[in-house]
Amino acid sequence: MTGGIVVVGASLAGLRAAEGLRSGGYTGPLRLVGEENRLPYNRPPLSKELLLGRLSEADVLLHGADALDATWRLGTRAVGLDVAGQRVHLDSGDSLGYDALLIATGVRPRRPANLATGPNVRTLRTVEDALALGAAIRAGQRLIVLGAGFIGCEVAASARTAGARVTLVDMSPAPLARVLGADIARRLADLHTAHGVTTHFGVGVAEATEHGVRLTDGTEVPGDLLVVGIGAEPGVDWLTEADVRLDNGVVCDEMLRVRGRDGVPIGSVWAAGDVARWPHPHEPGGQLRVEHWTNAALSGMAAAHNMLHRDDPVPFRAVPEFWSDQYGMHIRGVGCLSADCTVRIEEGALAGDRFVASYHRDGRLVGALALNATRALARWRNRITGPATASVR
Amino acid sequence: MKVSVDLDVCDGHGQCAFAAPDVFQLDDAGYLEYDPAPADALRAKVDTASRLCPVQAITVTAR
Repeated sequence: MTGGIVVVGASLAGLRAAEGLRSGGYTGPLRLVGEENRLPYNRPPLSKELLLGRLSEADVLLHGADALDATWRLGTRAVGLDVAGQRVHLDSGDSLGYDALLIATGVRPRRPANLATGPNVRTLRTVEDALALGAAIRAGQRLIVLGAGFIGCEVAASARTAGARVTLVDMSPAPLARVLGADIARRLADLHTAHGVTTHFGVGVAEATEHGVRLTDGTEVPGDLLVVGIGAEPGVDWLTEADVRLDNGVVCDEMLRVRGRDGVPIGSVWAAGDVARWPHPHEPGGQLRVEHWTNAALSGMAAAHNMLHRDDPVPFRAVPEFWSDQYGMHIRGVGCLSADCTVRIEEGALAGDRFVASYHRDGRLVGALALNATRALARWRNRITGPATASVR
Repeated sequence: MKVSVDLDVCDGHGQCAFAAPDVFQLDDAGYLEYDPAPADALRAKVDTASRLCPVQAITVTAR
């Protein structure tokens, strides 16, 4: 086993996998390749505490990286993969042979086709992005946020909390309604208007101008800085020539083994985190790709277990979960939420500051959402996933 | 082993309670109660709990 294990992607999933490999008894060579020139760090604070200056870049580093017995190739991009030859090609010109590979290259922010990014049109994914954005907010710049998904909403909430002028724009007339259902989505959008954010829903940004932006309905919105939070693309550019199946992410079986183009699991390659797409029994259509924190950590651990137990792998069945913090309110979701579910308020009241909602599909409980009711959510969570000893925990 | 939790950082996510319910529990108000000296046999679950804490509030040491 001379090549050892290579992990491409040195963020949460890659790190948790690497830790799992060592905890699981792997003693061979372990190499991590990371595009960013930093040890792994935690992203949730980038739209919250780090943006507000309450945490520093040192504070967001993920524990466990410095204690790991591994070789780090940071500031290095993978540019190609030779599946048959079991070799990863790097932008530095060299390549890494492996006995087992974990792909954990995450996602990159989607860029709008009609807007060139520059100092006044930005995305938020990295520590650098967050530090620059935080400085701009503290300097009094007026913010326009395009995209009222969770990241856009957190940026809007953080900026507003810092006293900035904020305008929130979304193409959908009811942002997040497709996922949460119309009533709950509206309740969450109302948080922003209640805190003085100006909202324009059902329109897009046509052009960035000297004074701000012009929306697709002709409205001129003044502002100094446009932050684009319109979703993310899986980090698979380096795999387009490789013999791996790509379809909105790297396609895996339920053991997180990557499939070749012919659909057959390769056997020496796994994937975890935001980039991985895998079969899930709760998802209509059968496959999931999840961009949530808990999934990155759990799938990294699950992939590591299966890399060390090739003859008795464990299916990865963790139910997706997410949270969002806006204006001091804590939103928690678990399961496969969708507007085509029957959504019912089970505790509290939609109009109040605390509630739990259930999501049923075909009479089965498939998800739950809580506003400021995390402890109560646990009861619903267990009914979706079964006892708390499921899967690789 | 010894477990310590920075309760100033703890945000009541509860992932620790899912991963190691014998060691971590959230009470009805969302506050964490935990066993600071769990049995060594629980080490793997406690390590998992620590790695699943989104705010990295949990520290685990051998003694």
